[in-house]
Amino acid sequence: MKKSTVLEMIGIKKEFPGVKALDQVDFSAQKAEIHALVGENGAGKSTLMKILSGVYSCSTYDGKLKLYGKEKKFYKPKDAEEAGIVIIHQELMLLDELSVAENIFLGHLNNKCGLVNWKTVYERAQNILKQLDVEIDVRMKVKNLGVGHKQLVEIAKALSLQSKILILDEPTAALTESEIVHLFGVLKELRKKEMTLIYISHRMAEVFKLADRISVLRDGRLIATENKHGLSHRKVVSMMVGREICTMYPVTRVKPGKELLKIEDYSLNGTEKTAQVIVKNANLSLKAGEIVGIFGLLGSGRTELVSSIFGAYRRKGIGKIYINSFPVNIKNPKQAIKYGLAFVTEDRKQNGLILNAGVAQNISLATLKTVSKKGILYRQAENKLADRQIKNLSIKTAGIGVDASKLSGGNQQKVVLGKWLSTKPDILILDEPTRGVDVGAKSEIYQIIRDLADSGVGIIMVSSDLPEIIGMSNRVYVMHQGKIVGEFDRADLTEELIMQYATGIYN
Amino acid sequence: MSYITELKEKNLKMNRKIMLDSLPGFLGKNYLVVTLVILIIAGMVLSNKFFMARNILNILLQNSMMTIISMGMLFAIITGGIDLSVGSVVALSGCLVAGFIQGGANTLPAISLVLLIMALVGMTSGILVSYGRIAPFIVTLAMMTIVRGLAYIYQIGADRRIDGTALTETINSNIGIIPVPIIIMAIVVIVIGFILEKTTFGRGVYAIGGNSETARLAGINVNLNVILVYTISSVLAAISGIILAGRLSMGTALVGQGFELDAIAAVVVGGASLSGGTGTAVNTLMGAFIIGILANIMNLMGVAAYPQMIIKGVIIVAAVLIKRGLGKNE
Repeated sequence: MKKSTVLEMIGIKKEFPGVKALDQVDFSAQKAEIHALVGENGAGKSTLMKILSGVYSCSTYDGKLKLYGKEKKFYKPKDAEEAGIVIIHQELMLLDELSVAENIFLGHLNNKCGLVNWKTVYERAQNILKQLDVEIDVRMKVKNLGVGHKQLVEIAKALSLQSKILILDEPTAALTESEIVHLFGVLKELRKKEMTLIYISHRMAEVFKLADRISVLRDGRLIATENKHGLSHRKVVSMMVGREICTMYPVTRVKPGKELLKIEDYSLNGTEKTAQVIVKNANLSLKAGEIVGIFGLLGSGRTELVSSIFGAYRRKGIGKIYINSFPVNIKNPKQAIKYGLAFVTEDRKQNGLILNAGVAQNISLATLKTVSKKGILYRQAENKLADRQIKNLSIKTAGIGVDASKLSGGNQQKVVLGKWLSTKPDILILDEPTRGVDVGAKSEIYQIIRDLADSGVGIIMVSSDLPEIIGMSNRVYVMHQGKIVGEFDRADLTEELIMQYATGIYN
Repeated sequence: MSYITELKEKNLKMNRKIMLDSLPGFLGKNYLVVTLVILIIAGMVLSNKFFMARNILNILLQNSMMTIISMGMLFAIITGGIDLSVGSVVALSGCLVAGFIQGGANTLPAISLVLLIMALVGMTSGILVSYGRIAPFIVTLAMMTIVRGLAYIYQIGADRRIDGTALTETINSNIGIIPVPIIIMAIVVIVIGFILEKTTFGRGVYAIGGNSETARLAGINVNLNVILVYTISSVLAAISGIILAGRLSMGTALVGQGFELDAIAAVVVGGASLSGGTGTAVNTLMGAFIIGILANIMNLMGVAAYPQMIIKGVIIVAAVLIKRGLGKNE
């Protein structure tokens, strides 16, 4: 039986300044299907869904959007909603202080001259929830619900709008096993009711359990839309990545040189209130040309350790730090830079970039001295520096004056890298260098890091991405609850081993 | 015949389309200049006295002090802060300079001492903001009442008239046909513009307003820069206070009320955002004069003081709305 096509997106092309987010994407969905949309971070999934749900006005992209064969133009989310398209975001958009029923009918409360008829509101809410097989008191405040139930309230909200197409963005990210099972039951039920469900997820197992068809996006292009039965997990992953995983990580050609950095018996105390030790008796060394990985789970003290080495942490550490065998006492980032350190922080938006400043200004920020004389800036020198970094790191931007906020995640990260490489560091500390970066930029960044190490820079790479840590590091330290609990050479590394130490099994 | 009219119409339409397409972009970049030009044309149409040399010099003179104060306020606002103490600093520095001159001090030492004292006042604010981690609004609000109090205490019971002294003579004299305060204003605007655009310190100031944590991690001494910013703001307000004392031939604690708000208005009309990281000296200059010229036109037309206040308020809100509307088309 051939199902009828409900939705067609044809030749969708969307550009942000300097970056093609979507390139000639053709996407379609049928009646009564669950259509999974997969792809790495930055592949363009959310951009495509924002177009579909009217977040991006139709005047900001090229291409056509057809519903039931008729071309539609959405200028705002409300237009999409009226056409029957509702998106359920990863972060739920419910109002905690309002009741379940109020949330379901928000903006559409049954009323007469502004007076709400609560009896019908509650009854209708109850009915909708019954369809979803949920038993909750519709008078209850949403803040008292668990995440699973909140999600169902969102779905109920969509049903109350008579929507025909439902987009779910990573709906299971915060759910428990049993909540996931229930959700899947609900989604299959909705499919029976001839709804179209677009399901965005990273989790292969779920995608294969649920979806009828799978579409893969990569670097803004639609790689394939295929029936689930013709696909395997491996095949989907390789389509997402577009290359064999192992080739992502460049191989070292150089033997480590002399010791650049040594940390002895280094501790970091917590605040008086918590009285918890953040880093305890850490010992660590770094040689020229070496990439040393630091792996740890959330709260292991990995970020605190490196940021206090750089003099950026709020509290002072206790212990000894040697740079080129000389004891040093680094009080603030300014001194750290003088000692040849550079620090690419974990969160580029929070403390890596000045978002409303241009690319050139961001790149020169840590080296204002080299582009100035006696405090007077030389714009030409600054622009030259920026041009050089843009070229060397192949940063995609429409110009050196473009605000950093307008770049994609990968290019933003490269700008931060460019800023620190401009200081010509001997020791480069990277905290989660590829978080929120698309696959293409990721492998470019890996190559940049490896080239730097090969040129004699010592690199400390903090990461919670296991393949990355294993693929890149010469040596790895594993942290657990503030302590360095293991040190491994590249040859001994396995994901299981690192995870066991990081979770404290061998503590 | 019909063919030609058709062609003409088509041409006209196309011209209009091109104009409409590029107009918002042009306005977005130059709306302050455009607004000023419109105001000047309006002034010429509404009053034949407006474009006379005397009136133009009058506008420049009357707004010179506010412009100087606004330059200091601009610094504070770029870092994401604010300086509410400038009005009080105007009053105290006027009182002090008059007092010192009455006490027999020479003009230059008197001025230098006042600038130094006010630099210390600004530095104190800066230290409280940076090391003390108190919100700039609170620190400078406190400083505003403290300094105002000091001005009253210093002035009370004393007659701080300085008629006929070197200071009043100089401030009220002209170089060529241009009154001295206008020249001081011009120098201040050029120096401040240079500091903001061309120096590493200026770059640091923008960086702090854009993201102070990023600035700190990049090795910029955030605390020192913030202290300098409030010091500069205070010194510029003191320069204004000294000019005002010269023009009034006296020092009085009664002046400068609400100057801080007028200065904020000038900076905001000049397109800076109160959340920091943006704003330029030239735009602030234009912001100050948009407000100043408007007041002048209303004075020439005989609009009373109270309606003028209402119109000024409307202009401030309109300026922000227009900027936001045009910004979208950039």
